[in-house]
Amino acid sequence: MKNSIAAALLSIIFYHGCENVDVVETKIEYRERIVVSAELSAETFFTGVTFTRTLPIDETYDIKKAELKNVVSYLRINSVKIVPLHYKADGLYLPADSLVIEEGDKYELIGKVDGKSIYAETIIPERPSINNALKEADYIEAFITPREGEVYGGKWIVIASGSGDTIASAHEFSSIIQNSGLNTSATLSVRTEVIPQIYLSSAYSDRIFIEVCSFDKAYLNYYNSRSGQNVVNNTFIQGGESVAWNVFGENVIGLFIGMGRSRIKAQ
Amino acid sequence: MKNKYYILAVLVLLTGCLKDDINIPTDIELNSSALLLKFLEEQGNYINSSEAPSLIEPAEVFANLNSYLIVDVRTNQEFINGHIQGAWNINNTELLNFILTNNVNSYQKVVLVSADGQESAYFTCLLRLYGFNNIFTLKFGMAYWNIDFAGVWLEKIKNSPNLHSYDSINYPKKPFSSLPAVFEQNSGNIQDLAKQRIASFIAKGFVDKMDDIDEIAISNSMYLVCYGSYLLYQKGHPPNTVFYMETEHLKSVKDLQTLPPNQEILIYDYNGQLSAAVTAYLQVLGYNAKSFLFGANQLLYYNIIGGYDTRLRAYAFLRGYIGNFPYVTGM
Repeated sequence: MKNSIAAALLSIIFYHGCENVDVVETKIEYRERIVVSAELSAETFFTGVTFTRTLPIDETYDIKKAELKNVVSYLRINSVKIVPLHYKADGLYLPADSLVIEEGDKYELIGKVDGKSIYAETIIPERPSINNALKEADYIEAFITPREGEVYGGKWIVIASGSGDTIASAHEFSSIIQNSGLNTSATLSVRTEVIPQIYLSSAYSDRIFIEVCSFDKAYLNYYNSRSGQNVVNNTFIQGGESVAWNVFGENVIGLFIGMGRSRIKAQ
Repeated sequence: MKNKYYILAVLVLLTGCLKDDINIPTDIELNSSALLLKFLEEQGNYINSSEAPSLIEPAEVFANLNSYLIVDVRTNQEFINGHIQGAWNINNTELLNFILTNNVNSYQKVVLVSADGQESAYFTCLLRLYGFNNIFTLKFGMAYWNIDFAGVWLEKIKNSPNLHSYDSINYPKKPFSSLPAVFEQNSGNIQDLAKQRIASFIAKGFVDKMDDIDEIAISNSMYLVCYGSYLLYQKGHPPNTVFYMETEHLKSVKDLQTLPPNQEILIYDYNGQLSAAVTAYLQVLGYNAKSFLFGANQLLYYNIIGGYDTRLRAYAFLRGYIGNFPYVTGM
C-alpha cells in the first residue's frame, strides 16, 4: 500500500513538476486570449508579428474584430539590437524597414497591451543541410545532418515547370523529429506525408521536391502537444486546446518561432 | 524505502524540467529608449527617408515669396544686415513657440534660413521629428541667395592640408551596443517626453559642431563617421573614419546601434547640411553627436568638383550657382 501511495505521489510530482503552467492551457471553455503569431525564416525578410484576440466559438471570425491595434512592441536581437514594430493592418506589426532574419541569432519579442506583458524568444536555426533524398513508393525521405537545439520536419512540394513557383504542397509534416542523442554527426531521416496519387505520375517526376524545415526546438513541444497532432488554426481563432505555446504572458497564446528551409529533388 | 522514493522524486523534478531553459520574464518593463526610437520612426522616420535634409533651392523660394512662410534663424544683427523680404527673424529660443502658434500647417512650405544652411538643417530635422512635415531649409542658406552673404562658405571650401594622409580603407563599424539611456524607466508618456526633449535641443541651439577633423582623426579620440554615399567615402577620408550609407545604415534594422553610446561621434557628409540633421536625430536618441561644419567641402573640395566623375558636384558649394536675389536691410 505504502509503495502504491509513494508511486502515485511520484507520478503526481512528475506530472506537476514538469507541467509549465504558463505554457500549457487545459481549459476548454471560452476565455478571451491574446494570440501572437510570427514565423522567422532564416535568410528571408521578416514577415511581421500578428496580434489578435480570440473570439467566442459562436461568433463568426472577423479580423477587424479580432485584430489588436494598440500593442506596443519591439524585437530585441541578440539581447542588444532594438527593432521597433509598427501596426500596419489586420493585426500585423512590422519594422519600419525591411529586416533580414539571420541564422543563429536570438530574437526576442517584447510587448505590452493594456498594461499586460508579452514575451517570446526564439533562436533562428540554420537552414537544414540535406545530404540526399530518396523517392519511395508514395513519400519522399531526406537524410540530413542534424544540429544541436533544432528539430526537423519535411513536406512534399510540387513546383510549376516554368516559373518554379510552388503549385501544391503538403499541409502538414508527417512528424517533427530531433536528434535522439548528443551525436550530432549522425544522419537523421525526415520523411513527408503520403503524396497524392496525381503527383506520383511521371509528369511531375522532375518537379516534386522535399522541403525540409528546421525549427527552434520549442516547435517540438508545440507540435507534440496539439490535440491529435491536428492543425491548430481553429485554436488561433477561438482559443482552447491544450497546446504548448512559446509566447508568454497573462492569457497569451501563440508561436514566435525561428525556422530555416531547404529543398531538394528526390532521386 | 521511503528515502529511495524521495530521492527519485527529486531527481525526476530536476532532470525532467531542465529541458525548458527559457527564463520567462513575468513583468517586463518596456525599454524607454526603444520606445523613443519607436516614436521617432512613427514620426516619419525622417532621417532615414529620402526627404532629409529637406533642402529648397533659392529660386523656388523667390518664386513663392507670397505663399511660403520664411523664418530667418540668424542673429538680429545678421538679419538687419540683409534678409529675404517678408522673412521673420526668430531666434532658436523662440522658434518652436513661433511654429506652434502661427498655424504653420496652413502654409505649403515653411523655409528656415540660416547663414550657411547648416543651422537651419539642424532645426529643420528637430521640427520634423516634432511632427511638422512642411519645414524646409534654404540650401546653403543666405550664402546661396546673394553673393553679398557668400563669404561664410567661400572662405571654407578647400582641400585639407592633410589630404595626403587620407585613405580609402573600409574601417569596420563597432559591435552593436545598447541604445543610450535617455529617460528614467516609467518616467511618463513617451510622446510627451520625446517632444520635451526635442524642444530642449531647439532651445539649446546648434552648438554641437566642430571645425577641425584632422587632429581628431590622428588622436582617435572620437568615432568619426562619413555619412553619405560610398562614392564620397572612396574619394578619401581621414584615417579611422567609418562609413554609414545615407538613408540606410542608421535604420533600426541596420547599423544604428553600432554607434558607440559612450563616445563622442563626429559626423561629416558632403556639405554639412545632412550631417547637421543627422546630428540632431542622434542627439535626440541620446548619442553624443557633433556635426563637422561644411563637410567634405572643406576636406577635399577640389577632388569633389574636379575630375571626370562629376557625381558629387551636386553637393558642392559652387560659386557659379550663387543667386542674385534681392534682399532688404533693417528690421
